[in-house]
Amino acid sequence: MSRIESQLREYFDAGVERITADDVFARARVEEGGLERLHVQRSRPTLNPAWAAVGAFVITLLGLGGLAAVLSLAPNIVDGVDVGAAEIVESNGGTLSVWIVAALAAAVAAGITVWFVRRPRGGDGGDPDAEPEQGRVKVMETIESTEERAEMTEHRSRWPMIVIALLAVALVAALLWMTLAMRPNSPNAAPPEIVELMEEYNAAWNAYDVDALEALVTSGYRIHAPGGSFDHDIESVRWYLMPLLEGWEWQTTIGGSFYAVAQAPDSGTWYVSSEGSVVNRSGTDYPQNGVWRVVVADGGYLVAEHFFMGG
Amino acid sequence: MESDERQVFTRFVKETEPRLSYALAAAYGFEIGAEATADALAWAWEHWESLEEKRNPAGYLYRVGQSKARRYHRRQMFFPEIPAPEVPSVEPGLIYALASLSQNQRVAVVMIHGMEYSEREVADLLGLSRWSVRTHAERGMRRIRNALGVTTDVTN
Repeated sequence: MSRIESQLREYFDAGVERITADDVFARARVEEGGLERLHVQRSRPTLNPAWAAVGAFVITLLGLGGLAAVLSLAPNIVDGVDVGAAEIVESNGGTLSVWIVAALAAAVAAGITVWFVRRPRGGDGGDPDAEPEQGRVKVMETIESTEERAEMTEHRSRWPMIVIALLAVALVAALLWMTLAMRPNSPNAAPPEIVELMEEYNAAWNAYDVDALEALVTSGYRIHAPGGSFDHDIESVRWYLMPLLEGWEWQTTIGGSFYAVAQAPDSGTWYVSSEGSVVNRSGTDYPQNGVWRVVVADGGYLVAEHFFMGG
Repeated sequence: MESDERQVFTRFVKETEPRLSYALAAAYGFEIGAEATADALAWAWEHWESLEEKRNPAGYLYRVGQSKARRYHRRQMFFPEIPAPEVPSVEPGLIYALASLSQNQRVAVVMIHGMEYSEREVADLLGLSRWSVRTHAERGMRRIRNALGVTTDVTN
């Protein structure tokens, strides 16, 4: 027998508490007699931080997803406003990415909280050699003190902290991804000059200021719907369209991130779209899927054409 | 009649208890192992009629013991360093190495290499195949040897 094997045998022979059939019968008598079992649970119930984190993640994800599903199935929930619950869900973060970020945040919070609550406390005046949660233990008719077994080898799993760390990294990554994805940082992000032009253009429309608008468009400017339902030049805008819209003080255009594609390199012509929206008094939030043709003129950019597609 | 039953149960405990005690102690540490063994045997006596009919009562009781051990809500496992006069030749490093093994590796190493049970007996107890138990034991011993820096076995 090798040395390791003989040591194992000696160690377990010395450490294992043997139980006889008489012990079992004695215990059965105690329990039949209505006496409480004398041995007590030696440690308080604890929750593994990893399980807490995973549970919080799943519950949050299912909770938000379930809520969104219920709302999307519900009919319009606000009387007098033509908006469905599904639209509310969608416009208020009812997307999977938002749910995942929320679930990750909940998981990290739950994992860290449980870890802090259940971690052993040391150095607070107690016996430094005493193992936490370990004290005098009653087993059957005997009372044994475990204090003599002062030096204990503690095998503590690192998995809970690894899971929490991974969740925290995933949370940070998800937040970074969302932050970056929401920025107009794509290769098609509009140049700053075009963004400035479009913001001024929207501001002119919102202010019903045709003079300001005229300064931002070419002489051949046209605003029209692709289906041909309307088609106006700047004069038509001045005398017909703008007065009409001015009566709709409750409608406004909100600029968003602008994207632009050059028709050809160095062509000086750009097609621009945005993530903006048009909001009217019924609360409807129309995606502003308009497209503008922007050209270089007079040393700057001007709007040459406005394909109106939004509400 | 009850006395006959007791005699049969006593024989059963004599045969089964050592294997159960060592295995549960290896799996969960001495204290919880003892508690789990006591709980499993108490359960056995309470359900003796149905247990007798089981094909592998020892393996069944090991599962009961595992279930009882989980009631203690303690994932950490403690192997005390037995005072020197009692076990003079046990290296502390061996205890650390043992604690670092997976549960199945630890049980297989202790039962096969320490307590000299056969692979078949351990496989029945754990509900695993012999091949699987052998693999656990070999890997466990390799890890212990590596942890202790043992390259060759020393025969007593």
